[in-house]
Amino acid sequence: MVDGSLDALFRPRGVAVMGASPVPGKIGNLAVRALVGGGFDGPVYPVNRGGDEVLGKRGFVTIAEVPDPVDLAVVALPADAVADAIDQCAQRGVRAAIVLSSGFAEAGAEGVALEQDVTQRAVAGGVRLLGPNCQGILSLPDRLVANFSPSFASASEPGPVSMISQSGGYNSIAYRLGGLNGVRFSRIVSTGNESDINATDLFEFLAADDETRVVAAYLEQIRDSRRFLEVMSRLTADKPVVISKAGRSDIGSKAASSHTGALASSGVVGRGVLLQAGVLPARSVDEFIALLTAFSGPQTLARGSRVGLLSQGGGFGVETTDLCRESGLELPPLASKTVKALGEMIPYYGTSDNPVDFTAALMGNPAWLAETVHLLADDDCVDIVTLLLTASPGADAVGDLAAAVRASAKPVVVGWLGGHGDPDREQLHGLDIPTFATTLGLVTGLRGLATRGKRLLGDEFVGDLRPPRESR
Amino acid sequence: MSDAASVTTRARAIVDEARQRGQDALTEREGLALFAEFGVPVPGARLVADRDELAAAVSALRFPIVCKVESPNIVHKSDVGGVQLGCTSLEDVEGAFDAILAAVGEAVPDAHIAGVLLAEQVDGMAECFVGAHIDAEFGPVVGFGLGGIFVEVLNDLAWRAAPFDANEARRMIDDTLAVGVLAGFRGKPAADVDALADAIAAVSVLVWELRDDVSELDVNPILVGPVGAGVVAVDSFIKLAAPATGD
Repeated sequence: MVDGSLDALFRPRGVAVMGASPVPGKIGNLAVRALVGGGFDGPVYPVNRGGDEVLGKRGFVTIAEVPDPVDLAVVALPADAVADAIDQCAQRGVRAAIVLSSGFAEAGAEGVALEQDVTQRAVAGGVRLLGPNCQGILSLPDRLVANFSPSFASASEPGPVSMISQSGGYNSIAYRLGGLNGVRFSRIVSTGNESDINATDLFEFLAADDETRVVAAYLEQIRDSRRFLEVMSRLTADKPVVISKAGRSDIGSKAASSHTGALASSGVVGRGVLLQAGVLPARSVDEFIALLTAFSGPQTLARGSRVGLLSQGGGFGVETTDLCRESGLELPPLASKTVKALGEMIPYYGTSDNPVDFTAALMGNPAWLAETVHLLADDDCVDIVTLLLTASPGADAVGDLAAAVRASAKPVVVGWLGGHGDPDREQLHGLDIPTFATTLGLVTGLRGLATRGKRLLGDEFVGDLRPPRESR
Repeated sequence: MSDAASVTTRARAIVDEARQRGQDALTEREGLALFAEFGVPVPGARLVADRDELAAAVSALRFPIVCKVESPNIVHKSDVGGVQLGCTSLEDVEGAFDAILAAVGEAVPDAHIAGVLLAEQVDGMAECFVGAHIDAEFGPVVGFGLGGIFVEVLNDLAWRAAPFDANEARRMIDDTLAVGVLAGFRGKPAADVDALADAIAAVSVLVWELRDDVSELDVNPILVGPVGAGVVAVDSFIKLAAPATGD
């Protein structure tokens, strides 16, 4: 039931901030600052008791006085003032409200009653409610930053990944860690207590959202799990979905329930159910970022589990080979014409079959990179091309490499070890080619691509993909 | 009434009868009957209350035969001398029948004994486990892995929300260490994974249809034969849910 009611949340024409404050550091100030700093191109209306101006924006005493258009309200008021604010939103015709305020179901019996009251008023008044007790949203294609976390103070260009989280902090950190790998985001939502809009509603929205190519989520409790399964099965058939589901261990579950007032599910069951729905489960934020990095590339459909690995020498090619094998991935011999062509470039002390070792001679011949990507992309023995860099090949080679990656019909995965802060790596990211910083992250990404390929292609998928096992 | 609906109706009748007798779990025979309704393969079996009926029962079965006490009051049958394995003749079966009644009569004198269940003892090349319970978050869920003691030792079960089809069951198998054992090794043939997947899917339909009646279930082991030979649910335990009030 995509009824368009969440449009007001992601694509409002104007936004009011209720509880907007001129005092720096207050949440009601941070919220206005985020909206203005994010470059939202519609009107932003501070609303507060004194009608005070905030950050150069004219203030209003009540939302009733705010001129059109105003589709969304960001509520940064004390918990006991929220019910009244929601009523005012309903009267004003505001269609969605983000309630940042805490002091609801997460705060005991009185909070539960308060939350029920607020939610009933929102539903009765036709206002969709996000939260309470949430950090807000980003809708980067619409330059909307309705989130008070300073992590999003420098909103990046929009990208393919939309992220839903039951922990606001998870969004902030995944956004920053993902950014380091060149992962860029589209919509980011902190759901808080989910008294009205829950994660499944948002998954349903994202399924139909043209600005979202990849979906990511951190979940502690799945409400209405049968509907979740149904929505998720449809979503994963179309878009890759990466989920970190907390509370796998006994103690982890307790931490989760004290965190959101949610009863987290037992152990491995959640992981199995995610697999059933076609989700790529992540056990940690490391795996989460690795999978998002892999699925942010221009081509993500792996037709088999056969990896063609190219490295620049050193132990990392060997280490990555070992990790691939332990992850159930194959590194088959390359087609003879590929080996021959590589043999003509690579020095005799390198290796021109899989895993290919360019040796440090690559540094003097950076054009080999793009050329080799073309060779492997055309080799029928390879399903995923993997490039492992340990130094920059230079700005020109990066441009050619990006073009070669985009031209490939197969996924091309790039590792750039030790490249933090390297402007050439940033340049590659700017050309929409994300990169991995570690071998384990890279192989997690490869495994994810193969897992999804097998899921989508079934018997057409080349090679088998056994459960990952560490060598003993 | 559709086939599926009549299966569920008959299955619920088995559960209701057991409840009316005050049971909180199904007996061996009732469990086999329930599985058979949903298409989970079970061994050939006969319940014998009277010693004189043993010959007729044995003639309908294949040796070797395993004898188990049938009682709504006894869950751990082997703990009270209620199980005799490997009977290869009528004389063996008669001896087992007498021994079981004597041992159980001494160990649990108050138990109601419905008789002794004679079941064909089957061999498989792999022992697997299928279990189910009602998860607080996901409702009825089914777990699969290697059976016997490996359930505890390996902690390697794959879980799914019921119900699901054989393709999903196949993916569950692929997610566990069982996949290596079932593929065949050291000259052993590959196991009948298709039949196993069908059986796991059938259990998932059972626990979904009976989600208000069955609170826990496990089959350990379900024996898997070589390709084409199928599977058999040998030993099972089915715990009933407390009846819904006002039902």
